[in-house]
Amino acid sequence: MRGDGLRGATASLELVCPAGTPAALRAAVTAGADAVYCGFSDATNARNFPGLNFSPDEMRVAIEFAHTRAVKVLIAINTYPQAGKLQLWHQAIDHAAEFGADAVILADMGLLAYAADRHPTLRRHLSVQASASNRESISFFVREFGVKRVVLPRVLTVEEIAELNSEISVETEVFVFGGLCVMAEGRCALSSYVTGQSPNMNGVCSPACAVGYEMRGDEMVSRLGDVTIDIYPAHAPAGYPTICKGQYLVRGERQYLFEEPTSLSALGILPHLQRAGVTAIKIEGRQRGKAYITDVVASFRQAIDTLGHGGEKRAAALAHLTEGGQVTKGAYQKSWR
Amino acid sequence: MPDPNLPQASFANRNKTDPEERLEFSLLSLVGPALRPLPLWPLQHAANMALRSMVHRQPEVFARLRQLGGACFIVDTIDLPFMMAIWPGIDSPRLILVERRNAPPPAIATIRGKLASFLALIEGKKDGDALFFSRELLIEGDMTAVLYLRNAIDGAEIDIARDLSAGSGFLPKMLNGIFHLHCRAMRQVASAVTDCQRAFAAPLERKLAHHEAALEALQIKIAKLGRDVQKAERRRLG
Repeated sequence: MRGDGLRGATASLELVCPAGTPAALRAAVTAGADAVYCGFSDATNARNFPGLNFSPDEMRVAIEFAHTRAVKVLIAINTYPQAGKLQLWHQAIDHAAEFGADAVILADMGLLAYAADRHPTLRRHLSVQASASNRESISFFVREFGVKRVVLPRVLTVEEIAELNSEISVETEVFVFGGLCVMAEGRCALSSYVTGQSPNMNGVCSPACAVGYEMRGDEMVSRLGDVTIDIYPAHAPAGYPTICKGQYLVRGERQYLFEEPTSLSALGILPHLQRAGVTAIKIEGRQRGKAYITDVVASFRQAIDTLGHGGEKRAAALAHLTEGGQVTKGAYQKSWR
Repeated sequence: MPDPNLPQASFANRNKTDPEERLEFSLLSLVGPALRPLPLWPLQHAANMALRSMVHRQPEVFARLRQLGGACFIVDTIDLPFMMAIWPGIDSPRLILVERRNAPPPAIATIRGKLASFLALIEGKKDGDALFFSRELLIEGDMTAVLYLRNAIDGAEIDIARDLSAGSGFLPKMLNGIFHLHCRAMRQVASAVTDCQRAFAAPLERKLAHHEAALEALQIKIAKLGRDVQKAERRRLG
């Protein structure tokens, strides 16, 4: 694959990039991705947005395109199957195997068992949606389902990741840019509470049909269902319409109850992550456009190739793509418990 | 008031963009005022040709948009004297320029912004979410329909200059020529100004990088001290 023998001894982090459309996949490959992750156009993946993702035919062509350029394709089938509709999830795994995907990213134990049983040579990665963040949990998935890589939840410090890596015998992948979820991923019920749909079962944090924006003079009101998420003054940076990033009246005071609309950016700490034993770094944003993919992937490609130099400057150059116009290193440098 | 237990975000680089890109963008915004004095009919003619060319070159994109059926979108270009009403999901997609003094047709959603933002979005040079975050694009209406439209367009490889020049005759050639001249002038001016900016900014950037490195080292120290204090406190409490 790309990088082995091409980028030199210092560049050992694998760059895993998002793609919501075939055009975005081509952009990611061109910008320097080592691997691209994507999903089918249905509820089997956690970015099930209108008009996004790949039909089976598009996926087959995309994998061929990536492989001819020595780039891997990882297929996210990372929601939990809905009762009575299991066939859709099984079909997605079968298609991934048939098309020659380099790995499937799964969270549900039943799907992991199905993939291990039916397609034993198809590499299995554990999705962040499984929220496995300790040795016991990860070892279970490795032992029972032959998982080769774990995508860690965005709640661990660099020191905790290093400690974890010293205790487990499997690759780890961590998020380094984009949407920041500080919830117990795969267990979040905020969206489901308001809309009846969730990222875990339907692949959406905030289903588009429940999202509404209204201009009140210069102010913009953002809503999900009947819940007002925020009222943005004129020209104030906006965030995604998710419940977790809203401002609410708490004891008479307006405040962010869960988290601020802020994007993760770990560009400045890649050497720390590498020293912590991380195998791959992941960019969030399958719902984002080609321009985002091109800019972010190219910046991380350069950062990996010149590990330890200019990370903060590159992070500043990406600030215009961030949610709320803000970035944070999130839990990687958390000082709270 | 932000939760003190959450990670502190950096506001230092809010809305910062590449200087060259910022300049090109601001120059592109001159297209709007330049179009103001023109009558609507040649622009409507050019828009029809460009849309026909897009449909011809990107059939798969418009096939995806069939799910929208007869839905109409209003694209409100705030720096132009007209809006655009678009029906992208019908068999022969349609675009009508609507003067501001006239009421637009009923629409499933309205997308509002500067012409430059729309052009950049259509050509995949700007990210739709980023334009929304920075409030350069405002959206009202059915978000499912808007996402279908946005994702289909972003999945296409649209080249406006090429589509504007589609067809034969004097008008397409003239529009294409104007577009190319405009782009070339923008690049030249952008390059000259960027050189000047770099000359002025280089010493400041070095200083900033030094301060950023010092700040990061301090942040790491503070975080470590915080954890040490918490550990000590836990030990003290038994």
